[in-house]
Amino acid sequence: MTRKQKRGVLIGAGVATLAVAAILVMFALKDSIVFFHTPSDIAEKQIPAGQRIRLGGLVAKGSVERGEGTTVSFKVTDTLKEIPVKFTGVLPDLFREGQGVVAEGKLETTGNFTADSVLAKHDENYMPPEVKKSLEARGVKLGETAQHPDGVKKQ
Amino acid sequence: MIVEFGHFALILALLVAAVQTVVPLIGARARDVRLMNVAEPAALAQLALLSIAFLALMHAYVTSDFSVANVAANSHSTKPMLYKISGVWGNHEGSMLLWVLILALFGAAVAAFGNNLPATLKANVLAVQASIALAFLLFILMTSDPFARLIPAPADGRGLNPILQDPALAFHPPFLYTGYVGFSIAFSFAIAALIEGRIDAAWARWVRPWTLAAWMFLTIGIAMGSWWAYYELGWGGWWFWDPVENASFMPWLAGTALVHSALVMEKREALKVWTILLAILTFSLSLMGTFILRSGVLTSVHSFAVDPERGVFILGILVLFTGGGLAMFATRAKDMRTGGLFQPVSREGTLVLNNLLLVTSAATVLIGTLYPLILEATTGDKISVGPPFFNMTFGPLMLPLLLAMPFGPLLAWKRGDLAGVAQRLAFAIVAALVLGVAAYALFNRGPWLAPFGIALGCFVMLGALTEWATRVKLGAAGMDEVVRRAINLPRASYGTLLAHFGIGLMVVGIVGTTAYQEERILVMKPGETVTVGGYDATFKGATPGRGPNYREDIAAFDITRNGAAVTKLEPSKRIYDAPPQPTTESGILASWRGDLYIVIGDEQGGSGAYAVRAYFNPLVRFIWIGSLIMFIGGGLSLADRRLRVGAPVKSRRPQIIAAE
Amino acid sequence: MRADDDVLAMIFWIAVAALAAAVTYAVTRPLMQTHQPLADASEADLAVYRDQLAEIEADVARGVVTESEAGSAKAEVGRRVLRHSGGKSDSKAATDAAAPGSLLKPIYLATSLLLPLASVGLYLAFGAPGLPGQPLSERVAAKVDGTKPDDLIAKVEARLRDHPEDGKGWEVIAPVYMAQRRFSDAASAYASAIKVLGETPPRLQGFAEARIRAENGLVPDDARKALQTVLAADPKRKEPRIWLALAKEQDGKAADAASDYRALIAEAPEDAPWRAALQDRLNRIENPGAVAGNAQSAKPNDKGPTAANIAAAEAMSPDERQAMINRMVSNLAERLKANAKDKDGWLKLIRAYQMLGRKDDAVKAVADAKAGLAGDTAALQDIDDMVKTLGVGG
Repeated sequence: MTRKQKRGVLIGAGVATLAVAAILVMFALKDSIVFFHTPSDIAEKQIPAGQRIRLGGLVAKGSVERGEGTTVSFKVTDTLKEIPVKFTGVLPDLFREGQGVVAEGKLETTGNFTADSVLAKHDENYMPPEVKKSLEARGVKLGETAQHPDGVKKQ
Repeated sequence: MIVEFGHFALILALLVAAVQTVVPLIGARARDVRLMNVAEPAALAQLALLSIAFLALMHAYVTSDFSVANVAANSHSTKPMLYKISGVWGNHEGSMLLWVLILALFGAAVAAFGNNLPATLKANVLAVQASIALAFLLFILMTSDPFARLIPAPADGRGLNPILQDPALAFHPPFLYTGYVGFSIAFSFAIAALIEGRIDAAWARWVRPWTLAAWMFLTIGIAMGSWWAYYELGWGGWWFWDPVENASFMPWLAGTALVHSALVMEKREALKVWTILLAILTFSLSLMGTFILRSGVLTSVHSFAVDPERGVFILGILVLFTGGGLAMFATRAKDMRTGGLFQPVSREGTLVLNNLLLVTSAATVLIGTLYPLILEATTGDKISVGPPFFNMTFGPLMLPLLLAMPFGPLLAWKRGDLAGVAQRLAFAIVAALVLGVAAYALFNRGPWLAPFGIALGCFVMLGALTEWATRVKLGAAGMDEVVRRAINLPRASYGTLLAHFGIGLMVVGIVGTTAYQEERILVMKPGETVTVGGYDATFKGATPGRGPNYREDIAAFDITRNGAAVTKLEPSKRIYDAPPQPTTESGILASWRGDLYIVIGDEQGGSGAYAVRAYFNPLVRFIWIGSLIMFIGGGLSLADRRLRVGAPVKSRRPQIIAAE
Repeated sequence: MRADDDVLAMIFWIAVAALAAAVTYAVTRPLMQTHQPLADASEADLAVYRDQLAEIEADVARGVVTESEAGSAKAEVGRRVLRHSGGKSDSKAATDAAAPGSLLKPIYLATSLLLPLASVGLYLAFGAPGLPGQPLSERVAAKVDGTKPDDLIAKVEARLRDHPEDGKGWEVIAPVYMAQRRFSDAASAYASAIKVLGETPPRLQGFAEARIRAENGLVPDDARKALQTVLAADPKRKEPRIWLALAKEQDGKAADAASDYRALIAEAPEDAPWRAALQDRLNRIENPGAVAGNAQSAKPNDKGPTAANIAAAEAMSPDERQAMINRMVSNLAERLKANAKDKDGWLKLIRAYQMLGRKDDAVKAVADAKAGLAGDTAALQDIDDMVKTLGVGG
């Protein structure tokens, strides 16, 4: 092979790999990204039922009810709107009323949300940043938890 | 006083780094040996000073000196000693101090063992290395001073996040950082080469051991993190494509490519410019990893420090070094003598394929990781990119890589004989297919791709063994000859063998546990039994218990298999005293066949019944054993005399069969 | 004691000086040596190539490469060697061309001054010189007189960790936690005391109050239960009734809450500090128009901020409280005058005015905000949304 041909093979292989990767990325991005919404978003933006989304907010106080087996229902609130959520499985350690939570699943036509995974952050005062931002954007000031007022800087 | 002495040492280290950045650079320009020689003692002094600072902070942790704000915020008097020590780097400030300490360690190692380097190259490398240290020391002092004092000292500390109170996680950051930071040496060498405008095969030989060391530690660091996530997070999974996991995985992919391209450069003096670029990119990805981890811009289960000011500072460092590096590359690289070209079918050819696929896959991971950020910045939509994205993009790219892997080492340099190699691999191919069919017959379920995945992993392992068999002439020569050859084979060859074998084993583990995992989620009353993975687990009820700094509910499970008692598992739910936070402790029964993995959830309605998740994860151990084998392989290569870091220049008589 | 500190400080500064001096000496030592010509860079490269040649020979001896492969590999390395030997003269020339020494003095001076002086200077700026370490063991041992409450607490806590059955200890520490505003800790301390020593009205009430404060003024279920028990045992107590009335209001039962408030006010002595606060609450219920136009959201969570204020009202007189709120609001307004681009600030201010019933101010703030944010369509949209939600001006 001549020098030119060798270089051609090298460049061709590179371009081909990148093209394949680009196609893969495009298809994957189309199919597997999940939008994040707060309960108010859902009310305002008319999210279609059946679309896979992440629902974020606070677990409404007094809303957690254990059903049959490992099914749990609770409400996610951004203090303006609430969405009832049903989830079957084991809740994360830090799932608590009044704490931040992100549920992933689908919205039913009834307006209820069926979650197949529920995330709560591994930190007692954690608020998922998306939730916090959305809530603050709506003028909701989250209560300062009064647990460590001793002046130590929070991490 | 020890705390304050540590603080002073830290500040002095900053100034030494400044001197080390400037003076040797001037020296290398002016070709004045005296100026260049400043780099060496400066690098050693930096290491000594940062060690003092680090030990001072550790002393504060060990003695629970809560007048140090960092200790008060992250430690607690009742914490076990191991976690008092690991608490030093279990928080933002301390972990950044560890970061620069490791940086200084690498710099000092180059200073101490780099006697075989040309004087100007060494001076430039150490100067660039010091500039990185300078940036990070400034960052530490300005935004995250670990020695800030808190007067009056609080009565007790806030405690370390309980999920970080774990032996695997105690040592995970040091390994991971050694990996991340190790690539700084490759970066410094690359920039130094650009400064000198000269690069050749010898350069690759000097860089390779450092890159290999960084790669080894990154490998084991990532594996430890995944192991920790597996048993501590209680989700039954071992990899979540979490931004922080990706942050460490991207430099690993690029670093793996770098290890291989440096090999081509050393042997054939080809891919020179590419290798330089790759060295810059690899370290940039490491810096980006630090940025993602430390800034909290991406939601993650791992990030525990979220502070916009720090994020911006690290972003500045990232932009400075990546942008600066790439700008230098753009202006200087074209003046360099380009390397040779070669036939597509050859050892070099497969290594180029390796680079192409690894770098492309790193790019897809990068896109998936940053896409939510980009989209939010441009459209305001908040999204998450989940595992399906990565499985869809990363998987297909790994397929040709793994297929080509056994071919590479068997092909000759320059001009390879593909047909001949395929013939040699015939046994491996057939045996792998048989094993794939066997897997299909054994599990008889799961996705249709899974048996192919198993076969692919087996092919990689058998291919590695085939290479060894060919080298020692197994079957073609007498037993004595084979043994003699096996003993004489360079350690680097064994290193390659093990690293590739480890990958194959890992692939088998990944495919096995992903495709054939069994999961049961249910509410169990005492006395009830669940069957999973051939085991019967009988719930015997839960009892409260107490550890040194936590309370827990311990659930007891009797495990039987075919009626015979196997063991008892005791998964538990802990609530730590400080900070008061629950954690899940999984009960795991490990075996070669796979892991039985049980975690308990909340008590259901006071009747003694608990939500229980039971998994059977087939072959999951192979993932970590595979990475351990890769680590050992890297170590063996590093121990090879030819790569040894400080190989003295003077002894250059060929030692033909000696010593190896 | 003082003399000890002085000695320690002296030792510290001696150590600092020694470290700075040692490092400065080590770093500047190469500068003091005599000039040496630069070793030829090619030498290092050539060493590598010689090693490579030796390796190829070793590989041949091992039989891992064929003779022909080895031959071409050797030829290649040989070419590299040749290239380097050729480049030698030219690097020599460069060495001679450089004029060393001219920069040496200033660099030497700068370095040996910079290292010690700047490090000490920066340390004085960032560090806390002379501040001794305070390891826990020393502090606990030193403070037998127990003059510092923090240390006392630490001692009690340590004891309670080992003896959680010590109910008296829990009972002692619970109000201390309250005073320190560590409400969650206080709640669990009260709970422990109740568990060990049994229920009494003061303990239950303490528990309930701690829980309520930990929840920022919301009355959680367990606190409710506790308060009801207290009331059943001692119907004369006022505090449980206040909290329970508040709980009703949080449940959205405004009418029930109002009648409870009225009853409480009627019974209250003239000088009761909570009387005005209750009157205030009552006014809001009876006259919802005056309260933040959030009539559409009678959900308990929306009462968060105001409920928290009530909880704080006990600690502060109503006048003080009102004054504080007004001060905060006017600070915010001042700040927005200086920086009219702060959208979040405007949203906060409008909300605050509306909540406080200062409707005219709210309307004016909306106008100001729109003027200040002109051009920023997204922000204007947010303002409009807020106006709609709160019903400003309506």
